[in-house]
Amino acid sequence: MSEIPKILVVDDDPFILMSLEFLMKKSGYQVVIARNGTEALNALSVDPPHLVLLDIMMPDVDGYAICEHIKSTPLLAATKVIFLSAKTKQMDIQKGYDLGADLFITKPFSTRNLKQQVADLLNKK
Amino acid sequence: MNHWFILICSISYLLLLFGIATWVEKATHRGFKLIHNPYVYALSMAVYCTAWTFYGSVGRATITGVEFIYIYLGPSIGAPLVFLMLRKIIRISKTHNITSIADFISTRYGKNISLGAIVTVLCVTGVIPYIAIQLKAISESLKIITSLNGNSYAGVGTLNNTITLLLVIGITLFIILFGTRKVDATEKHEGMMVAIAFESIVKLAAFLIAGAAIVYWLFNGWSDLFVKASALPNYPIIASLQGEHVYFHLFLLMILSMFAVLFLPRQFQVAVVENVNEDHLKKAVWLFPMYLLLINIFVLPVSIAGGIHFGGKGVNADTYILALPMLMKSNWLTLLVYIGGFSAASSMIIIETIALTTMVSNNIVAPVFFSLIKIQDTIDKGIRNWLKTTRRIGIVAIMILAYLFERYVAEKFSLVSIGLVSFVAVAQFAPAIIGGVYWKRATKQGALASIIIGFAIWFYTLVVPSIVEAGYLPHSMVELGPWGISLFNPTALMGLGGFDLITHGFMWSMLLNTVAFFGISLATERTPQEIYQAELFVGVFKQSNPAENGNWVLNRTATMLDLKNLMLNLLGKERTYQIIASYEKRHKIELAKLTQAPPHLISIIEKVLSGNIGSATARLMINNIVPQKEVGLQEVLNIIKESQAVKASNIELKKESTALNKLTEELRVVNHQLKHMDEMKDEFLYTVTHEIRTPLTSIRALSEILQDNPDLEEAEKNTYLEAVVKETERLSHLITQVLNLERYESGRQKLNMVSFDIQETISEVLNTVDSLRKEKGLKCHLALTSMPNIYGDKDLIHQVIYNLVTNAIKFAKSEITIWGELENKNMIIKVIDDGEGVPVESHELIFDKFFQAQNQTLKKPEGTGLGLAISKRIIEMHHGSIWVESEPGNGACFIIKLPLQ
Amino acid sequence: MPLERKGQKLIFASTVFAIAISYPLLTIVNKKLEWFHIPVLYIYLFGVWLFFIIAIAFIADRKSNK
Repeated sequence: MSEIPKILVVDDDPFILMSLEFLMKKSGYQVVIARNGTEALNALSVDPPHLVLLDIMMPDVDGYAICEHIKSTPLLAATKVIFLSAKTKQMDIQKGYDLGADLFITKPFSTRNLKQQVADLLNKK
Repeated sequence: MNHWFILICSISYLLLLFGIATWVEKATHRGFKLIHNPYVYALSMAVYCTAWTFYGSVGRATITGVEFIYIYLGPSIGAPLVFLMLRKIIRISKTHNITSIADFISTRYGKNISLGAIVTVLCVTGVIPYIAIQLKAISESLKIITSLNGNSYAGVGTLNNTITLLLVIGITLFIILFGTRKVDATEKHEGMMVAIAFESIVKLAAFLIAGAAIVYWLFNGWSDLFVKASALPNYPIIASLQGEHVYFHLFLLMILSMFAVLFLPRQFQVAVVENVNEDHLKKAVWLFPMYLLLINIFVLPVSIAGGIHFGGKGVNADTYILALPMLMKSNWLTLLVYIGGFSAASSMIIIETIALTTMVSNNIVAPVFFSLIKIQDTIDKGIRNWLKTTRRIGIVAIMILAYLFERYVAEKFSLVSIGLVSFVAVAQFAPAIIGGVYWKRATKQGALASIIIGFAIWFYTLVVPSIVEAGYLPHSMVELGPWGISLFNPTALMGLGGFDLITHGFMWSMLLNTVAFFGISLATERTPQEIYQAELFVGVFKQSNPAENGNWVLNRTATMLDLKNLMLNLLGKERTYQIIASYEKRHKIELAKLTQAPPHLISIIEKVLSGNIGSATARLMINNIVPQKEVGLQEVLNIIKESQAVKASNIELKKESTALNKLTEELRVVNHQLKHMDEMKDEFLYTVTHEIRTPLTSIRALSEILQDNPDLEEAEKNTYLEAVVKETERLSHLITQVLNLERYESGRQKLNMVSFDIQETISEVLNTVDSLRKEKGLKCHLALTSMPNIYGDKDLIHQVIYNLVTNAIKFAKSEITIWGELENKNMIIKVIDDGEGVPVESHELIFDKFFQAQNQTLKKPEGTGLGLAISKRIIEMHHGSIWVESEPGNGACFIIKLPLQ
Repeated sequence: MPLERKGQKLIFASTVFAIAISYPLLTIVNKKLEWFHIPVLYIYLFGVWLFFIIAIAFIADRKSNK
């Protein structure tokens, strides 16, 4: 893989979005941001990312639906999904994995771990 | 028609009855129970309609118009009352094996022998003439049917008498054969009852066919008949009821016939003794009145038709129904009517004789016989054969009495109202029976006095005038009174004249009878035995099978040897062992091992004996082997108390279990509520932590970035630090609000009530949010009119208004409006925005905690999601209300309604 | 208690009809009135009687819904 991995960050909280964007750029990835579900779907259709950092609770389209869309779209077959959510119930986490997510990270999270986990996922073929 | 032909027809009819009865008894033996049928039961009740109905009603209608139908209207209209009472009487009779009215009265008043004997004598006296007129009807109808045939030779009278005698013998044979087959009250006379039901059909069919033929064949229908009737001299009587006391008379006639249908021995026999199933009453209660209606519908037309054709020609109106078909020269119709009349007479004779015989044998012969001899001497084969013989002799004796009465006495008396005279006789039992069934306090002396006084007056006011008429007493007696004392005139007691004999006699006898019953009952005391019987009778529906049920058994002792000997002697070997076997099986006891008989068993034997020899005699027999003869008062009271205690404890238990059930249900509900509250609390906590996680995430991430990247530019560093501060504020605000809400909801928040100017508060709020509003470029309208001071917690109200205004600013597009006014001692404040609005389904939900947070279709709130929930709670604490009015797309209007006080 | 209630209905019916065929209501029809030449008194008494029987049959003998 020669090109720089592209990451889509989706979150409706501006500060979280801000910090994730900074972190990913700092790690050397291409970053696209989306402030809600609709923007996220648009971004996905324009240019398939290698990985998506996905919030769940958003006012228009929720993260689960987006994950479902990614996993059912052939063009996005290679796209990895990491949920980042304040939902901490086992039931909600299980649902995320059932939909095909590669990782489910609960908020608040360690930025250092996150960087490592993103890198690992992208290296794994 | 030819005598012999008539004789053959009559005998054939009787043979048909024999055939039916035999067939039914055989069928019953094979298990085909025709008697277990409500229609047979209802039809057998129609034994009420005798030859006196069949022939006599027409005669009565000719003299008094429609008055006669009250004799049938009474039992019809009264049927529901009568049948409700019958249900109780049937239950009592079945429980105690009661076989007749005499037995019923004697059992109720302490199994008193003399009471039973007196009732029996009076029944026989009152009813024998009634049987006699049935015989007279048979012989009269024979006379009519054979006379118009030119057979007027010398021997015709003798021949008629011979035929009548032959028929009487035939009927007697039938009664002996089918009426004494069984002597035990628990067994029914199936064959006889079905034959009686058949006779009821025959007499009804005969009368209806003859009536219809007369109306439609001899005349051209009802209108034609009545047009011609208007020329009759007695037409005014037929068309309307006349007479000085006619309405009173009709009313008493109605009551009288209601009593008759309960207390005539034959009615008691078919309705109570022969009843196999209480449920049959449900059908009989309307079928019996229907029968009465049908058999009466042609009576008046026949009377009119007879009047038109025979008026003034010396034909007895009683025989019109027979004479008219003869006039029409229809032999088959004449014969049908004759057979109908014969069936009416014979059915009455059969049942009445059986009923009287049972009474005589159980209440007079048995007590005398069994008190004269020692049991040890009694018949080896048990009592059954002895009883059968006694009853057969009784039947023959009653038939002979009735026959003699008809031959030698009846001629001298006017028989027109003999039926009603009998009715009045048996009506004398009404207070003793009805009172006995519903009133525990009734005493033996009261019953005795009531019956004796009633009968004395009956005899004096209704029988004496007949004797006078027959010429055995001076005529002056009914004109001036005995020895010229007008107060004692049997037709106008106390000078109360102007009534017909029946009205007069019934009124006086019932009046004094009833007064005596209640007066003397109240003046005397009951014996323990009477108290015991009264409990058993009045409370019959509350007990179940007292003889077998431990609670109600008298505590009597007898040696097993004595009891067994008594059983063997009275019931015979077969029945004795049968009873012992079933008792041993049920109670799992070996009686042979006992020396003392259980009180249970003694009660059962007494009950069985009651069905055979009457309850009073049965008690006499049992007392022979029981050392302690009289029942003690204390014992009876104990029995009653115990049974009531059992009942009471049952009620108590039931109450307790109901209460327990209720409690369980309440607990279940509370538990459910608690569980629900628990779930809600979990949900709330989850939402709170969730809400906390979001700012925490930002704070942690931004802090780590700042820590890990010391080389950040100053501007960037500042942005991040500012964000951290903002998120920290958000976090502490959230925590404050959660704590506030918790405080309001738990009720720990005390309101600091002061009187304050709400306008000022609104202004303060607007000042606070001024910069925020201007930032969004929103206009603000203020429309406050006549706002007085309100009484409340100023800070909290301030908080509510602040919440609403910041909300409005958050959602408004171009302007917000605050609007206030006074409405009926309530302050109304509206905060209006022109934003997206709130969908109708969410109007109530938005006041829930974290509604927006949980509802992802809504824009995520900038606040905590607790503002509206807190506002609602505060307003409610002030006894006010808050709600939203909004249409999606047209903004939202939040309304607060606060009481001034 | 269905029977208790049924009993009360029956007593009610009896009372009403007993009044209908007694003084003073009876005086209404006890006149020289005719209907198709038949005295109205006669028609009235049998009419009331029949009506009563139908009412009683309806109350007492209706199949209970089990």
